[in-house]
Amino acid sequence: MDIRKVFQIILHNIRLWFADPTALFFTLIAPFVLTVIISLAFSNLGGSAAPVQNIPTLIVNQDQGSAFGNFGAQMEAIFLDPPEGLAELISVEALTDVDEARQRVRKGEARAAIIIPPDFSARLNAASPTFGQQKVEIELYRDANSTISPQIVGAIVRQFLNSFTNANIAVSAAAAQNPLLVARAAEIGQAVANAEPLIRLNVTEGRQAQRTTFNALQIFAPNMSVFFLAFAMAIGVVQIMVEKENGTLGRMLATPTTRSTILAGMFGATYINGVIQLTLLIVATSLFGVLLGTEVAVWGTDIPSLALLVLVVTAAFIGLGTIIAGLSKDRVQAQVLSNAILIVLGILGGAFFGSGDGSPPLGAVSYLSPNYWGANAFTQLAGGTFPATHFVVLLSMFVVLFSVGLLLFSRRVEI
Amino acid sequence: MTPLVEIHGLKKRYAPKNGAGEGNLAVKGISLSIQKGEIFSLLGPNGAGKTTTISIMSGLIAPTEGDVIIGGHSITKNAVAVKKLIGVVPQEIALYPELSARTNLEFFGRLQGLGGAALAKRCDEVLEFIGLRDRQRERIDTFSGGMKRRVNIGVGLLHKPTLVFMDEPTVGVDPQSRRSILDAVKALNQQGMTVLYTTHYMEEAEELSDRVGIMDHGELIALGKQIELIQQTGVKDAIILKLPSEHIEAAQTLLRALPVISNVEVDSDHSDKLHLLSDRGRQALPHVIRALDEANMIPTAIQISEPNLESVFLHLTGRALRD
Ligand SMILES: Nc1ncnc2c1ncn2[C@@H]1O[C@H](COP(=O)(O)OP(=O)(O)O)[C@@H](O)[C@H]1O
Ligand SMILES: [Mg+2]
Repeated sequence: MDIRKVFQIILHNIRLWFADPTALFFTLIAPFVLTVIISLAFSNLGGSAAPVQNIPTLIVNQDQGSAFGNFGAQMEAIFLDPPEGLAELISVEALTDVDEARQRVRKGEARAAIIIPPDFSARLNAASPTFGQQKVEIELYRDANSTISPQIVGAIVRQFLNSFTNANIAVSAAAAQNPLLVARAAEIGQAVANAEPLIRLNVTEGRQAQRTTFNALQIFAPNMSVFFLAFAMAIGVVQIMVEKENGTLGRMLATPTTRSTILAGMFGATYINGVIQLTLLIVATSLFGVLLGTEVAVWGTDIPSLALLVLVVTAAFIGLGTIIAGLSKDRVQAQVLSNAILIVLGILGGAFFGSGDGSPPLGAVSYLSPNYWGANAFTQLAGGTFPATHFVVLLSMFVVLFSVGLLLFSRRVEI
Repeated sequence: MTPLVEIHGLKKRYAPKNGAGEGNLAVKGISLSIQKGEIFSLLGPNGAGKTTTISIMSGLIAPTEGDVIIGGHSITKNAVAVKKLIGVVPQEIALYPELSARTNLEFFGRLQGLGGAALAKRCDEVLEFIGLRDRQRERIDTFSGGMKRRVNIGVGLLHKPTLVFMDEPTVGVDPQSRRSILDAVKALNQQGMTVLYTTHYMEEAEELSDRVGIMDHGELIALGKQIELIQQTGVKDAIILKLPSEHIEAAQTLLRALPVISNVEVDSDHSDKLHLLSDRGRQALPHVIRALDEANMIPTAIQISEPNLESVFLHLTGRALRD
């Protein structure tokens, strides 16, 4: 195999797509527009694409209080009954169990949990001789798969802490009306003034948990993208048969270029086409999600895993396209057959309706569809789980379908 | 001198269409050789097996039996070495219609192993040669049939092949383009290129070729210089009669019955013309005139045609070349 020529054939094919605006339309614009339309139509399915409001937030106050009051309880009270403006932004629920709170964030039921430690008040006791020496930490346990909402919660907490340190501690101290403290008022005032960075907000992340609900875009963006990817891959393989008919394949073969080089170039071009198509659709639908103000990243935030899935899903579908073409009698049959098969597989995989919880949309039959495995892999990843089973299934599909398909195909096309 | 091309007992049986039975035996064991520097024509009607032969010779399909040796390399054993020597001009226009003439040339040139300045130079030269230098940036699908044909030829010449295969390069072009293509073939040959030219036009084979192979139904039925073929087959002048069309059928029956006449065919382009062949050539004319006169049929025109490849083909197969 001549790598330079493989590269030249790939470049040549990329030039051909750009010479054909309809191809660009069908590989990029049509799937994007359909994703948008269908996602909007189903947007109340398993999540919302509405602007950020009522961010589900948990608060766990473990503060045991001190002689001068319970600062944790004050903070909890403010969050539970937020002032004007904040009230629409967050919707706070108080819990007592830290583990439960963390779990619910991991499940995606809440975007963040504010966890107030047991010694919160004790450490904020301005009268304590060690005041100011020990840091006070509030933990913000955030949903790693959400982007905007936890940041908003974090900002609110920070703002709260700022005013809290400056005012509340001094007020509480004074309110204690302790003669001892009055005597040390200047000293305490100094300590409080220096206490700006006293409370640190420790942001921790939770992922790994199986998500139970997904945003509509997280279901439909992968579904639509995979549906159109399947067609693009089948068209790419059939294009080799078209070139055979047009004589350009024969013309390539008449040059000192081996069959394997030509095949590698043609299949390589189709593969790269698929990867580019998926990547652009991921970027476009993600931006669309941001535009809509969806609170979770449509394709998740684990970029390396996302890239890995793009590669394996594209491979699986090029395998599917190859076996369909390989089983077809001629180019026309390959086109008719792939259209029919891909529509059925798309429906089995849930292309136009999906399932809100990411389960197989048509039960066990969905497992027969590479579309299900491809689209659901992305949905699972967006939910925070690397879809290991999906990955193995897709990789096996590629290996089996492509190797058998290529054998049949090269015999059929006499290349 | 060893020939540039040697074809040994070449057979091709295509795979059966619907998987059942025996496939079509398109080439039935042909052997011939082509000398360096000559224009060799394969002349035969549609379906004779010309394209199949060229496809095997250019390594597109494998022969069922036999082999082709080009420049000392076997196409079945060392196809890449053969492909470096040959340029192929396929019968159907094989170009990317959505790309420009130059981009087409560049792509196939790269596959030929050209690149950089050498590729640019050859593209310029070829575009000049096919007379499309000023339209090189235009898309192929905006070109006329004749222009597409010329680009189709140009692609086969990029790497200055020792041997070029031209498969019916004039099919479907206007007379002017046809003229320029035939002149181009001669020019290439004068530059030293060996040409294997296939056609079903007798006149083209006659004008171009040093030697001719006549193919029919997958067989090579005659091979040699034109003059040799005419002598070998012993064909004489043909008599062409023009008659009122209502007399054609009767005249055909009548003349066939004459002992001096060996064959009577209706002209494929003019249904009021009859082609007569006789072992005695033009000496049969008085017999013909007398017979027609007795039957009250008066020819409107009489013409004697010198023996040519058409008459050789007619003699060998009993059919006209353009059936
Ligand atoms: N791919 C093919 N499969 C089966 N039969 C074919 C194929 N290509 C050509 N043939 C048949 O082989 C015979 C020779 O065809 P071809 O070589 O194209 O003749 P020519 O070029 O002289 O017109 C014809 O009968 C044709 O129908
Ligand atoms: Mg032909």
